[in-house]
Amino acid sequence: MDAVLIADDDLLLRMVLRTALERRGFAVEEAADGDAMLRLLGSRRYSLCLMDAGMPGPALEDRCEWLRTTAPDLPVVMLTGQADVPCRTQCPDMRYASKPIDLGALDALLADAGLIGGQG
Amino acid sequence: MKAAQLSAAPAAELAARAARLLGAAAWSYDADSGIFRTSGSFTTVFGEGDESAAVLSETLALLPEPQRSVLRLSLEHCLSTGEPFDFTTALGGPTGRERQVRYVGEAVRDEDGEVTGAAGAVHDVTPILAQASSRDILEEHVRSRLDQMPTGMAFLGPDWRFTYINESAQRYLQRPGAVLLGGVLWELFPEIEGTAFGIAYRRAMEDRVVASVRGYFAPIAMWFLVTAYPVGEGIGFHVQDVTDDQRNVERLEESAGRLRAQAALLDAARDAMHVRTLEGEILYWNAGAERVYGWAAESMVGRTVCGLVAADRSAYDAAMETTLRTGHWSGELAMRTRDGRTILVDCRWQLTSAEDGHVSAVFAVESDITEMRHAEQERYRAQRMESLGVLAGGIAHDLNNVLTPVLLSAQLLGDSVRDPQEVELLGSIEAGARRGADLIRQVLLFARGEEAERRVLDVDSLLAELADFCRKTAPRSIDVEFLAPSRPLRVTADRTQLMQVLVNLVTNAVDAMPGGGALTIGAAPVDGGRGRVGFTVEDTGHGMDAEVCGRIFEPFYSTKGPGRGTGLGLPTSLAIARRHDGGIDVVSAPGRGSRFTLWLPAADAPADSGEGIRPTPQEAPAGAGLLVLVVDDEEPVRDAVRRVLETHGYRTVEAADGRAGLELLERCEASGDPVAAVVIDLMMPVLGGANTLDRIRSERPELPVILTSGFDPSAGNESRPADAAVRFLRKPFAEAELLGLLGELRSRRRVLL
Repeated sequence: MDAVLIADDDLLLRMVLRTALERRGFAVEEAADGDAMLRLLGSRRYSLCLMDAGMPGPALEDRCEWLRTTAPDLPVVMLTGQADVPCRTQCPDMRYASKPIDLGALDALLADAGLIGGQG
Repeated sequence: MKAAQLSAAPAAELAARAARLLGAAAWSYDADSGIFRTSGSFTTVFGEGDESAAVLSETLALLPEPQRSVLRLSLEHCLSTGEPFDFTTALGGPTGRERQVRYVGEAVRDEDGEVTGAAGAVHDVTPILAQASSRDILEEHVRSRLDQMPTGMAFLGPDWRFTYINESAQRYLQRPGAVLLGGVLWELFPEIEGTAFGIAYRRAMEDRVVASVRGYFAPIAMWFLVTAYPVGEGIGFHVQDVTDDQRNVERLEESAGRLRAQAALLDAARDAMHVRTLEGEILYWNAGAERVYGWAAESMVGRTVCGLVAADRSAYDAAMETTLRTGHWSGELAMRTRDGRTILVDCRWQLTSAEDGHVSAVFAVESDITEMRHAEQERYRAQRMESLGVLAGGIAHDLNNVLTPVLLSAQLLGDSVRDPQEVELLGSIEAGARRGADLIRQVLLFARGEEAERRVLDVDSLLAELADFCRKTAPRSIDVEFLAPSRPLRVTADRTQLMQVLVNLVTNAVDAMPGGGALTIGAAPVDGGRGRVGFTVEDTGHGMDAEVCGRIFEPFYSTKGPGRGTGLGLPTSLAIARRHDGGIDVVSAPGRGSRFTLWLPAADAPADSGEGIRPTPQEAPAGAGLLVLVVDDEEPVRDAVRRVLETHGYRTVEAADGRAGLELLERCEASGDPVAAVVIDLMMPVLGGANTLDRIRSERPELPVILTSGFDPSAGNESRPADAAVRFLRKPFAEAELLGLLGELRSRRRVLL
């Protein structure tokens, strides 16, 4: 079973994303901050990481740098609440998705990562 | 001359009357008889009694001393010598007053010339003497006054000799009167000849005119004002010491010069400066005031300042009241210029006092701050926008976080809920969340401007979506009518942004009709069909006057009242329209509804397929500075590919053949700037595309590669095992195809490998 890591400090958001992903057959784990996220990413292999760009913990650049070096193969989608947040210019090589995410957008992300049928 | 003659008829009576009136009397003395006769009026001179004839001794006895003795002696002298006499003597008259009596007499002779007596007159000269005395006093007074006068005065005879010179003149001429009197002017003061003073004297003397001259008299270092004028045969002149005056004049001229300089400074000042009386009459009006108000000083001085005051007379009066009470006032007033503009003026008013301390005028310095205030408002607006941007960015993240669970939950529940009513409720939740997200987007859009994602859109489908919105939101009291375009219309626009504008216009229209009305929405070609498409939203609501119409596109201007409008809807709409090379026009009148027209350039191309399907647009792939190696033997192709890639954020290195390409690949890796993707032409000299790909794969199995060829690429690829990191691109290829493939490979690299 593909495992998806949801890293977001918003409990409600994690809850609904977990529900949506579990319904689609994924194993879901949650991290409420950057430190927890990095800990979990180091502990096991995930098929996808959905990461809040603005959550507490290490700075975005540091997280991105960690991902590039430690988990270069992990598909990561940066969730952002703002249309043109500076992090896009800070870490331009990351994949981004704008909140609010709806089911259509979520499915597109999963398809993009090759985790469900569709494009890619 | 006998007594009989005196009493002779009428002539004698006349003589007697004259004598009486003049206070005189006649007398005679006959030496033979010793009789002293007096005329009738004699007694009125000397006392009571009629005309008399008596022995001399008796008459003399009547007279008081010293008169008696003087008369006797004079008579005796006259009789003995024949010489006349004339004396005046004091007489204690009967009234006791001191009087002066003049006796004149002469000898009376017979035919032989022998003195036989004497005759004469006696005259009361008291009044005459009194007159003479007062003349003397007057003369003395005049003389002393003249001498004491600060003005020097002198008279010169026709021979230029001084006949009079007062003390001041003596002082000015620095010679005593004794030396000057009788002296000739030109001999005493040869240095005067030829000077302005000398010329004035000669003119008065020779031309008999009054000549005035102000000049400096060097010998005594003084300034004099001299006036020479003809007097009798000679001349007179006044000399006034005007040395002090002259200094005053010089001071005045100096201060006048300073004033002129100050006036020039005042005129050069940007500020309007004026002085006005407490009643408002303009006394002074500088050039700045002319510049500010348009009125020239000539037309303002003497007029009242109230002519300037704009509509708010009460504000002016209040300011004036404060000025009078506290001595000064500063603040802003709306004023009217000559050409009728209303300007905002920063005023500093100060009461000024005359030298006597009497408050007399208001000195006003006023600057036109209309422009400044406008710029200030612009600055504030920009600051507000900036704050809004920061605020919006700050809240957008949180709000989108809040909305995501709402949206997702509603959708997830939708999978299991079957009750149509509940489905509808879930739909409302979802729609609400989406509208919230749109709102955030709108604020972000206005505050920062957002890159529009332009597509060719069918106007019909836009109107259909709008109709759907109206059905859901418009109250029943409003009749909504759609006027479909007569033929298919297309525009190039960001669908979301365009809908936002239309929804905003519709919402405003609905809000303008709280009591219901008709809402007409339509789209039609404008400008005769080609070129532009106009979307009209028309209501029958309360309408707007010209002033409101002029302000509705200002940010934060809202007529909807606190808590209702953000004041951002129309400004954002206009901003969006302009970013689409379009605009918004409005026609409205109070009570007659409003018609808003959003116009956009028409699009010729067919509408993009799939528009509106993707709720969240995918981010377009961008180069992000990744290094791409381009290997192609044709330089124009390399150039074209490089241009495309660099335009979209990639960096490129180029090689003309496979071998050079591989060398470059290694060099880049060695330098720490590895190549992220390779674009290889299949048909190349030295090392063909396929061989190059093999070499690349031996070392770098995951490096994304795009193979380009003018031939069907599948032909040369049949024997090749499937390589996920390779894409084929057939020449000639479109920019989008190349970029799309690169993006695909990049995301694949991250997502799949």
